[in-house]
Amino acid sequence: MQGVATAASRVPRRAGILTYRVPQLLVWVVCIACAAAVVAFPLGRLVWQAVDAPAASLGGVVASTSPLLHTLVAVAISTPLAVALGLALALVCQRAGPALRLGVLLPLIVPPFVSAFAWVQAYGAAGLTDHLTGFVLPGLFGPVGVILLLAVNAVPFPFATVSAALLAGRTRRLEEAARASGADARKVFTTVTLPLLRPALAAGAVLAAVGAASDFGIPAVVGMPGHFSTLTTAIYADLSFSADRASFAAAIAQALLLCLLVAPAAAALGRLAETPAAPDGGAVRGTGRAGRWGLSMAWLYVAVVSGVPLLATVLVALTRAYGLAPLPVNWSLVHFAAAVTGDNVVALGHSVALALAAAAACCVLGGLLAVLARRSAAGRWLQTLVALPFALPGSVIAIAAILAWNQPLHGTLLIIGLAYVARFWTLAERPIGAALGGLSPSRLRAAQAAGAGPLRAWWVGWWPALAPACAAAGLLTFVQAFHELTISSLLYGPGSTTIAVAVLSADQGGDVGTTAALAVLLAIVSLLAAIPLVGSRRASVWTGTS
Amino acid sequence: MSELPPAAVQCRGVAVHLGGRAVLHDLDLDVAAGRVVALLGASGAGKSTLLNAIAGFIPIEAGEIRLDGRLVAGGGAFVPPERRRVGVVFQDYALWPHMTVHQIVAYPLIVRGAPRHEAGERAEQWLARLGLGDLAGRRPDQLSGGQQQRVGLARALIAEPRVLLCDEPTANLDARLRTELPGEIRDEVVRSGAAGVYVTHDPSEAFTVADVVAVLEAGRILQAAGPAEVYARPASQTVAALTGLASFVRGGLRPDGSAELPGGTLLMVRPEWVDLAVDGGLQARVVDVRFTGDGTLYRLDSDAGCLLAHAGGEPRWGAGAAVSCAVRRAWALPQQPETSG
Repeated sequence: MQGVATAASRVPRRAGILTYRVPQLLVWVVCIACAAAVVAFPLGRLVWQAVDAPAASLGGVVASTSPLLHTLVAVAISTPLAVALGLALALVCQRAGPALRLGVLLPLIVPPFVSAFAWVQAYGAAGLTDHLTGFVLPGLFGPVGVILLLAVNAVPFPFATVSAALLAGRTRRLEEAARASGADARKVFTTVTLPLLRPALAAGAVLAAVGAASDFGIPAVVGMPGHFSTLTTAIYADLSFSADRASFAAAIAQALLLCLLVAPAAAALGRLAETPAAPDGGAVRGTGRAGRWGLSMAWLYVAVVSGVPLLATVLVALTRAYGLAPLPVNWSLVHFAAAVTGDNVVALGHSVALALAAAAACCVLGGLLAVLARRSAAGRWLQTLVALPFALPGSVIAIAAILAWNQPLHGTLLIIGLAYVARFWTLAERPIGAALGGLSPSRLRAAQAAGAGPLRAWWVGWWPALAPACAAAGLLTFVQAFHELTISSLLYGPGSTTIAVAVLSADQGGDVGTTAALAVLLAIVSLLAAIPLVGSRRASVWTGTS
Repeated sequence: MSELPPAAVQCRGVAVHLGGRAVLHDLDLDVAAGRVVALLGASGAGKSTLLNAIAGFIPIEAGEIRLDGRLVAGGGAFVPPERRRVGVVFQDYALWPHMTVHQIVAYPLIVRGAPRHEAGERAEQWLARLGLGDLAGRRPDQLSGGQQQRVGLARALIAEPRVLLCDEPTANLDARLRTELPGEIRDEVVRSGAAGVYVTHDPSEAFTVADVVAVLEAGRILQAAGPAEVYARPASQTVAALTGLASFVRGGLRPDGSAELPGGTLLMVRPEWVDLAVDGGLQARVVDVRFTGDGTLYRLDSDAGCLLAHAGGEPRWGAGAAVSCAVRRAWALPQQPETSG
């Protein structure tokens, strides 16, 4: 009896390696130092700037209200469109296979500027449908194109939140109860299904709106040529095409406006986006909610939104010269050769290096923060602070980085890397934190009871369950950093071009073939990295803004 | 014996396939109005599947289902659940989390087009009747399991269904409610004149609630008869094992129903049919002793085989003790090619 009591009393003290005082202190120091340097300092500088010169900021805004107006209009129209489409697709795909789900999630995986470029190749003048049927999407360069692309690009958010709710909740049983109570299919949908999905729809709408307001790639590719500038492209124009103090002040003002626009939504998200419980694994009864017809419509949607544009881009990349028919006789690899030589290969190297460094740093910091967030209120506080840069638009983070570090680091890879760590830290923390939350101390205790020391117990008891989450965190951070455009387009210098910036420059320079080849390479890398992530059950890791 | 009213539920040759697998085979079932049939079986036997087929939640592959004489499934017909006039009580309650108790109970009347105030009044009456009068404004997550299931029962009954379907309604409730609720459900069925189908895996619950107990295994009904009949005269060893504790021994059946051990016939013996410490009885050895509260259950080893015996009072013999026993009553299982138990 006495032996049992001693063993039991020892368990709490040895429950984890972090109960040892020194490593725990070290973790706190590392996390607080990094959060202060990488997150708090730049954001603080931005806020201080706003407080310091509110008059100048306001002046900049009054000078040109059209970017603000354009952003508001684009968000106001694209968000409801995205929510309606996402809801319909989620209901149709409830029992569909992983291929269709991956298809619907494609816009989240392929970077937005690549999607926009691909749409131009598919539905623009001299595009694929123009070649085949003479169809050209009217207004592709301008508000119509921006709004449509923002909407389909945001569809994965409501799709993912609604799918998760359908999977986790007992929706089906609750609907059966309503059927048995005498409600027909339509009445069940309006009185039971929709109210049940309301939180998921709200979360999806917020994510879609934040994504649409923050996106830079789409308005950059199809908005700027049509003189439809949004806040993000206005910031880019202010910083890239002029170097005077006035335009920098204007950029700061726009960034603050964007912040104000997005902040309330981002704050609401914290309450809304609580991931529902894991699927109950209950018996799946009956066939899908939608029949063959619904599934074909979903496939048609995927084809129109992603399939045809990506195919068109591949064809353009393969066709020897722009304007030739995209037939095998005209195929060659010259564009791909151009894509991987000279400045482009340097840019590719920069992006790989940045993405690897950011992924490594974010995984380590994310893991440490996840441990702290599970242990104390202060840790959770730190977690919220670190989530801020991801919720805010990339343009805002870039401006904050310029304010904080431009003096010694102007135009270096380091400043881009620091901004990436700030932005993607929380992205790595989330899957690791979720995995940690699912671990029970009994796994650790079982290993200790079997005679393992603290480190070994951790290695045997917890690491096997944490490893997939760490891999997911690393992969996610790598992909996001690899094709990141918004931040790098504002921070790059002559010696620190990233691949996304190279694509944008090639597009703006009118080099369609090389742009297409680069876009195809980017899309392939993103897809390869994303497949294991989408395959995993935690689709919620994708419901962040990009 | 009075004349039976016409069956409100008629299943003829019903077969159901789920995910390409046959779950129910050629199944017949009748439930008369005002009567309750319990579907008893282990999990996976097809009880809930049959219930879902009657409710209209899943289609049937073959056969037909009639409710009140009306063909609702089979022969090319399929009437959706909302037009079958059924009430369903779910194992996990299935109460809509976004509605109040009052709204949930009134829902079946509202969706059928009843005036709002009338539906509200009826809902209040039902809530009062089931002892939920104070809870009308609450939401489901503010109720205990037993209260939630009573709300589920009120919702199922308020629109006066012709058939009440209960899918293991007590599975998530504590022991006291497990004995209370089945009785309430039975009373309501009798009062309303609906036909009741009650799915359970607990034999004592099935006996309490039902006029007829249908024992299911692997998608087939092995026996359907009154509770006492199924308990005392099971059609097979499987039915005997599914309906309570039983031992199977070789013996001879005497004309008075008692048994002589050992012998040549396969007999089923319920534990309470065995008398202990009987002069001139069969000599047996106590292998195991379990106190059950209302008595003591002994596992005995004898020449006739292993025998379970239940006697009133506290344990009188310990393991290893010798005791003489007699089988006061036994049932000769019908001969059939079956090896189980």
